[in-house]
Amino acid sequence: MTSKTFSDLPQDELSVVLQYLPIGSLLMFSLVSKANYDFVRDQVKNNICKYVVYENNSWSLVDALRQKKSMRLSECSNEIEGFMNEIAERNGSISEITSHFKADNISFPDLYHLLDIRKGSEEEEFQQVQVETICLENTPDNKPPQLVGNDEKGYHFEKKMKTIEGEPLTYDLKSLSIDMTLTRSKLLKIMTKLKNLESLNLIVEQEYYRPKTSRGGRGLGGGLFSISSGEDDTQDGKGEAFDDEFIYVPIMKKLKKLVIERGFDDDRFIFEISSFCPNLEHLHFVCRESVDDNMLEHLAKYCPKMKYLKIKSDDGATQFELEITDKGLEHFLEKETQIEVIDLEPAANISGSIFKRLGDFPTLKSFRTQRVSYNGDCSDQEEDIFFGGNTNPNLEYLDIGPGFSFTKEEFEKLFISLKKFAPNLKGFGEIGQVSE
Amino acid sequence: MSETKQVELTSKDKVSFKVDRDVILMSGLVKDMLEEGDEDETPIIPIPNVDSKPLQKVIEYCQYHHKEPAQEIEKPLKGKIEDVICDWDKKFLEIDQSLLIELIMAANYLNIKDLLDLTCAKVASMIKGKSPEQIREMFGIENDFTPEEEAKIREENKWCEEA
Repeated sequence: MTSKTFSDLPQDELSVVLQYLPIGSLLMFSLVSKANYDFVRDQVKNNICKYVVYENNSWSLVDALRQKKSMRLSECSNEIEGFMNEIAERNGSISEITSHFKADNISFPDLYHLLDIRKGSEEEEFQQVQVETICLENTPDNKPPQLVGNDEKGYHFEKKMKTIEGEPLTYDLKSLSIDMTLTRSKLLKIMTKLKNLESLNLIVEQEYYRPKTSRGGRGLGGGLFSISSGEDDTQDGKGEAFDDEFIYVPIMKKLKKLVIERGFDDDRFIFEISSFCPNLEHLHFVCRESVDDNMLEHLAKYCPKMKYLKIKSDDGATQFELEITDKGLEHFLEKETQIEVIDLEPAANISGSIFKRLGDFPTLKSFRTQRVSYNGDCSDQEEDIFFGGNTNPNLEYLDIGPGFSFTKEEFEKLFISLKKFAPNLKGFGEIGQVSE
Repeated sequence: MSETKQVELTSKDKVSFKVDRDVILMSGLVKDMLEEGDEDETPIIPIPNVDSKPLQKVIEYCQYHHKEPAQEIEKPLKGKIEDVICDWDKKFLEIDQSLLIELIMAANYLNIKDLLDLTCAKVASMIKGKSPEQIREMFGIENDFTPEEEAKIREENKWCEEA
């Protein structure tokens, strides 16, 4: 009996192996030998990437795999629409095309139209599906939503089961990046066509909408800003995705990662977005208005499985400080029992009292609250600052910013407490300043 | 109490294994053959493509998983295979490369999808994250690209970040 080697593996079995390889590894595997290259190319062409938009009028392994990983939706998306219709008609999966759509350089109506392609065919009746949704106010684009609730109790969002006739093909899309100029309601309408998303990346430019007026006068948003003429003409006669009162966004139980690199002028949309992703683990939010304790409270309530929280103010023309206080952060850490990374900048209102309890949050691996102020207005510093609570063997990184001032004795005390509280610290950023 | 019906499998190297019928019905091939054959007390089924060593492992797999259905392994692999399979499967896969390859071929021949998926995912896990040189070394594959061909393909494949 001779010993079998990898080269003895027949093509049938090898093709199953390839199905388990991520795209980068598939490419590496193709570079091993001529036979591997030919086999991978044939498999990719005939099985793995059947739907490819030809970029240079010729098929290439790299282009095909790149599109499988991420496909750009631009104005020239007729081909993609054709693919999606073909797949939808035979109840296939959007993953046959790609796992990630990048929507930029496409108009809202075109994007909405693509995302509204339903599984099934018109000849046979569309299958009805039940979807658990969150009801978000469908206010006119020139008015902010009147979120229900108050600052003390937080906002409340009603859930509603909706019956959808024909499941949108993009319910199974795993990842989406949106880099577009949109109004809040347009963004939420896009969200109505997604359900099993795992990752969402938003770079949204606020669209200033001018409503039609009978006298032809200017609407809101004139003057300083350019006003889009992109009126929202989307219709939903059956009220599945929206009606006059609400926009119904499916609860996205698989959404783990949300990155908002640029959002709307009114940061309250984060309250709405977090309400439909209950299992969110990673939030990176570049805010345009100051984030306060209420927002942390809301996040802890709606997204209790958070592992990574990074909030940074917009680095544009106007710098501003986050309003998050020690108390708000403490409550957040108490509720988020899986939290590993905290990164807040600029955290001018962190006075230092939170450090006395940091050891009570043993899941923390990295803690960064950059106490720094752009206007010179930091909150009063806690008088007696030290790191307390239990020992946290998991903490690897610490940065409290340059905004604390210590005497030599105070700094020594702080440092001794740090060594005791975080014995496995691997690195630290700024830990205040020592005054002479 | 009625006795459990058995099936006798004969490997390529003429070793016989008596297996409970319920257990070996996990094999699509055996199932088809039993349905086609007579109702013998202990039918003998030749497995001429599979040696005794991998056949024994196949039987071991079926004996465990006919009661404990295997969990589906997500395609493509996101992390290590060890993170997504049960402890029993981890132990089961502690075998040398030659037996792993034979097991893949046996699983395909005997039409046992879960075992084929498990073993192929194991090979994929061995390949994942490795450079072409490391893959060649691991599987003893000769690099038959000329330097010019390799340079050209590498240039085309500059984009190769891990998905």
